Amino acid sequence: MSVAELSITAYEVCTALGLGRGPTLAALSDGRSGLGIPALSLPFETVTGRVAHPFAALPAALQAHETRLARLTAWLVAGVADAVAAATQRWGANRVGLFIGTSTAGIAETEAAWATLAAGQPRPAGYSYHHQHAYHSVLTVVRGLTGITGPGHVTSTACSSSGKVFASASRLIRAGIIDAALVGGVDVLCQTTLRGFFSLGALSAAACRPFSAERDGINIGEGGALLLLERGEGAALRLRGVGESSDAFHMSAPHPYGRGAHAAMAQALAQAQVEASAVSHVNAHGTGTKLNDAMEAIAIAALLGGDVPVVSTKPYTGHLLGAAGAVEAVLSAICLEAGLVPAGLGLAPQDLACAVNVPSVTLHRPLGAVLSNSFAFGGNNVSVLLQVV
Amino acid sequence: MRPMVITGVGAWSPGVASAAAWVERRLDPAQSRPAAPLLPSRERRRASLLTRAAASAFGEAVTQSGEDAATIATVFGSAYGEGSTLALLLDQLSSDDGALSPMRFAGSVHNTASGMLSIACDARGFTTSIAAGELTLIACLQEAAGLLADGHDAVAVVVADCAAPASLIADAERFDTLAAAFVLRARPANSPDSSVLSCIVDLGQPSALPRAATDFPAQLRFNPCAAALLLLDAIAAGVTGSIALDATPERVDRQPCWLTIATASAPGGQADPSTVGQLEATEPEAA
Repeated sequence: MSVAELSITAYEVCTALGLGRGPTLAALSDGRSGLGIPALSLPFETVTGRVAHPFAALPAALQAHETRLARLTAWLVAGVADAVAAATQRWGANRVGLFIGTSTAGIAETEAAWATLAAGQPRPAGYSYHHQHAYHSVLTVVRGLTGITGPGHVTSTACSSSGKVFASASRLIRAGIIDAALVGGVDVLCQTTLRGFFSLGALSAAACRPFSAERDGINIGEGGALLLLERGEGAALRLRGVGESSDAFHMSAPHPYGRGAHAAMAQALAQAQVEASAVSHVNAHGTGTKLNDAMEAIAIAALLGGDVPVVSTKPYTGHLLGAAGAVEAVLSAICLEAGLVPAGLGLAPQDLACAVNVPSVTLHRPLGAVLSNSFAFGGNNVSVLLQVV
Repeated sequence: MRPMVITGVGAWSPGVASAAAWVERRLDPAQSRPAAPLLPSRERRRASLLTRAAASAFGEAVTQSGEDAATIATVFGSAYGEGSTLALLLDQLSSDDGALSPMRFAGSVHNTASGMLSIACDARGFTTSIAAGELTLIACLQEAAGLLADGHDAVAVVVADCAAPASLIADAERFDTLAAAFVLRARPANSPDSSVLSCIVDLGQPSALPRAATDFPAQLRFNPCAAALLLLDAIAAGVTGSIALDATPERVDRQPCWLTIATASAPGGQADPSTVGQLEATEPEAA
């Protein structure tokens, strides 16, 4: 089934590259990484993509939901607030959906509460499992800030979470249940994810190097993105297809030949009813692990051939985990609109087994459509196809 | 939007071995481990209680429906995800070296049940894992509606929440582990209209509707997935009309939700006897 024309009428983003479109585009164009020394206390070396911004407190009515994640989300909401207000006016507040991807939710505050308890002190007075830790807390915050009352949920499929929200929203729009949706993803740095990926031997001590022969793991970043999807041809930027698949192979390692990755990308193309040749660049999952980049290169080359430019933005922002899908969709959209493919940072020497075309310098050229991949624990895969018409 | 038909149900909770055991209130105190027959024994030993409970309810519902676990689309719902595994990780974080177990970390993600079952069943198609607090069941039904409208033949909705770490919530709000599953299909076009039941999801309405049965166990009332038990009761009782899928109506800080259903026993209904119940999800009204 093809995607009914679905326009992306507004977006907002923040990552270690900066707040909003301007600094993000400048860093991508200049080949400038946002990675740096972690602010968290860690017993190992790594770099992180931290958003060093003192986000404002939530309005008093939402105070119970105070977390760093919620504050970051509220900042993103402010960036799309006018467009969302117009959409709720146009379609009705109950015809606008809300789908947010996150893997960490409010776990950073739970870590702090647990440390207090472990020190023999009572549970911190301001802490609430229901209002801060809970995945749906972010929904309550966004509904409170925007007045959106349509169907909604948090998707939490680890690193594919906020790629899949595009699919949930577009299915309900196609089914006629809603006419628009605010979708996105948010995640913040915390001990659990950093030490967790370290325990798996997946964390690099230095900046990650996707598709390089010398790659040795990932970096973790934080941030988020929100995008407003609306039925119709209201904007040149379109969501054309989303593919979703399962590896059915391993909880924390991808299928070695990219079986699920290939299926997700092929499904996105089929849904959009476009040929592989229409894809002008691929925003790869490209985490910088041996296994991911090897299998992803196989899947991309098999589906699209070896000429299409392939880039991973992970060396710019770090891996945003549950926020990666939505953030990289916005980074891809910014690239489509500006006509640039960012340079593959840390590439040389490229792994010759990764037979894909990773540009070593920024490419400036007219672009048409981008496939943006996100692959996750559980073998959960998603590929989002965006196009500028 | 086309109505959905429920063709299989499942449930597991400590003392509750199946959906039928719940509906008939055949509670068995010895029932403390979910059978989870779909999981290989090695995975079953490693899996959290939440994932095993979800696997049990999923297996029961899929078997009853006659669908294929390898091809059915799956929507897993949980308000809090792998809470007990998270508690283990938080204890490890608080230990002297603060090192985490890689196996526990990989099993702490919200989509652990989704991932483990996709591997166990060699299911390479659609699966997701979502959360919406007390509205998680409703959100799963909406996701299922979208999938059926998109051409999927059948969708399994599995909702599950495990007991929250005791130190993180108030004593009065503690709840026990619970999982429930529903297999859904689009209602066949030739099904008589009189048997169509509408399932209207309504947010923020006044609370003037029937609620949880008085024999609803206290240890499950605060489970965010308790709504699923109310739906099982309503299907079994052939309830026609509105029921409140809200086991904690006194909680003013939570969003209540209602489901309007009618069952195969609706007046004039000529439902297919193979269907357990029917429902139709429509968009929520503005609050």
